[in-house]
Amino acid sequence: MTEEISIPDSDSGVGNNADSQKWVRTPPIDIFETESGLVLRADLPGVSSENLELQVQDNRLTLFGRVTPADVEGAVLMHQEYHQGDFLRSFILSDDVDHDRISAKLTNGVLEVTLPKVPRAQPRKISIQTD
Amino acid sequence: MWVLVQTELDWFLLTVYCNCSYVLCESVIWKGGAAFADFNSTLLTGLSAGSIRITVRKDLMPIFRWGSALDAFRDLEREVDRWVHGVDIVFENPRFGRPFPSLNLYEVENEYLITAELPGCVAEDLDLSVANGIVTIRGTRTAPGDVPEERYRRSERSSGNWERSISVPERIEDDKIRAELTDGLLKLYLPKAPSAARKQIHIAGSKPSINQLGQQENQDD
Repeated sequence: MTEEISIPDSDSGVGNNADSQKWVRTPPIDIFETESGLVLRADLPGVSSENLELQVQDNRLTLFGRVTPADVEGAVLMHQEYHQGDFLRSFILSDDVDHDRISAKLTNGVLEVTLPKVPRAQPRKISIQTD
Repeated sequence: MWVLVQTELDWFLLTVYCNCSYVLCESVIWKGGAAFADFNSTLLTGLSAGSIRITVRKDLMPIFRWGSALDAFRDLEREVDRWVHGVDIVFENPRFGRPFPSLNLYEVENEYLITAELPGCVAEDLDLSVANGIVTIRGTRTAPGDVPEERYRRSERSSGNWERSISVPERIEDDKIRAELTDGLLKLYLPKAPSAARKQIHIAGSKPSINQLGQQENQDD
């Protein structure tokens, strides 16, 4: 198989929404090949299944995970190593991926998307008529 | 700092420097600079198969500057900026790179809250302990063992054993610490000890010691 998935550079890492000052982050992913297609794993800590949107439009697979803020109201940030924010990443799917059979599951903040291959059409024999 | 990296394709010499939490690739010098153009995602994938892991980050500031008005370098600068912007090399050596897991520490009225991003972690994988105001979180992140390395197209998620220690600014009530882990996000609540209030300490016995000192001086005379 050739390169089915490429990472578009259109998604900016920092959210442009000025009033909410929320960060939009690019989650780290693994993609590996299996016999039946590709498997994509993404780290989405803090995202529950009801807050995860996964959609395929044309040939673009977009995942968007909304993170519920971990801090309670009135909490003062004393030390910060990561920015709280929603996760967004999108991928270009090749025609080899069967768009209708894409399945996904989310366990403990790790999303696993299964991207099956389109079943290859069997070669069809064409009978030749003779006059 | 120079690092020599062996990839499947060739040897590469990387200049890296560490700005607190990120180790960024600054330049690749090999074969008269031709490696600049070759440093695309294919090569990065090749690198990630070795001892260096590469993740793609897009929220970093451009760090590569040639300075001054060297027009000839402008295109090169832009090109290098572009890939430095998109590349973040995290060494597996714990001394380099970003600490895992990332932690945030909050102060909420009468307790501290530590949040840690631990995707894929279950409570059994974690070991939390506290001693002398230092909270230690230890755990294992298992890589899916059934997938051979050559099947990976992209590998950005880290795995392995990790440990973090956080020294909490004030005294905490060790017995009342509680932790919850939901959707790969750990929340650790550390209630402040009531004795955390400031206490004035009276100093006694300062005068006699001066007298003793004086006596000693007299004896020396």
